[in-house]
Amino acid sequence: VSHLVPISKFLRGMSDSPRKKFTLAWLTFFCLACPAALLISLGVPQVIAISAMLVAILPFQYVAYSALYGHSEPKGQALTAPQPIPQTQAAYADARSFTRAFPTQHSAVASLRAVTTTFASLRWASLQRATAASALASLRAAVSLQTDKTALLQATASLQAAATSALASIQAASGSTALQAALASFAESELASLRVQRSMRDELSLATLARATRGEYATLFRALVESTSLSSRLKESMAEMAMVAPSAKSPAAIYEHVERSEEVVRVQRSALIEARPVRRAGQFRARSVPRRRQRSLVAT
Amino acid sequence: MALLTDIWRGYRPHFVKLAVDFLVSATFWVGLFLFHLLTKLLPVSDWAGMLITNIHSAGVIAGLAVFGWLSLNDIYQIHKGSAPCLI
Repeated sequence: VSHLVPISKFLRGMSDSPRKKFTLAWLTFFCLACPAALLISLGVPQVIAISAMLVAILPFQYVAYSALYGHSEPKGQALTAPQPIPQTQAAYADARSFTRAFPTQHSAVASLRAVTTTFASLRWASLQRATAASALASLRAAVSLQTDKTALLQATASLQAAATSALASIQAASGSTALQAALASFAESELASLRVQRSMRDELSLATLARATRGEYATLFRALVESTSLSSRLKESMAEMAMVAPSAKSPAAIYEHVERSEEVVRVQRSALIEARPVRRAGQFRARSVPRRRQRSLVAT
Repeated sequence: MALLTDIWRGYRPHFVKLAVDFLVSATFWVGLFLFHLLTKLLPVSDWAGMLITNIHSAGVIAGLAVFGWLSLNDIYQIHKGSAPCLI
């Protein structure tokens, strides 16, 4: 049953092809008419035999058509929806009918088809030529690349040889005991020099700090002492002036008192100027030293 | 003339199909006629002669039935519009 073709395809095939008509008609004659005549000869009533033959014609032709021409159809399309005829087959059938109806036009179509085939072959040849040209270009590029690659490989080989020799020499040098000993002594001496530099820097900074601090303290102490002596002298001068002032009668005496006061002020100013701390060139400023460092320096 | 041309143009597919069907059936009758001539040259009697007579009768009826069914199928396909002209 799975090999039966669709009924519509059977009807169309029977209508389109005279060859199928002739074949199935004569097959019906030999397979239905002759057995029906045999049955009638054997005693079966003619009405029954002829009726059975007439009823069996259509199913028999359908089965015979499926058996004879169903193999050309795809198996998966049997007993399913009728598939549309492929365009090439339809065109072929139309071409056949066209050929029979219009032989002159068919020759023109044939020549056109030949021209189309020629064009297709020319296009294929051009494509092949383009493919061959591209392959040749790629081959040339590969050859040039191979040449460059050879030079590059040579350079790489030389570089590798140099690197290998350098590595071997480095390994030999690193493996020698003298070099290791020199390297160890060099490292030790470098560490020692670093320690010396650090200690020297510390000592220099400490000395600078101490000198600056000592100078500032001395300056301040001297200013304090001088200010103390100056205040005592000022007191003495004021006492002398108080003692002398009542006895002074002449403007000269008055002027002398004023001049003495001016001299006192001048002396005080000079004393204050001298008492001001003066920073000398290269002297370290004590204020820039951190307080903790100052305390440690004072403690030492 | 134009009317006849139009009639012919409209009837031509049916005529072609019916002509093909008739020729297919006519081969039956031609074959049966040749077989009848053979039986006249070589006469067969009794049960075999009856069988040959029955074959002639069944063949003629089968030819008519085949012609009828093929003609109906062709007319259906022509009216369906899917049967190409073979000429």
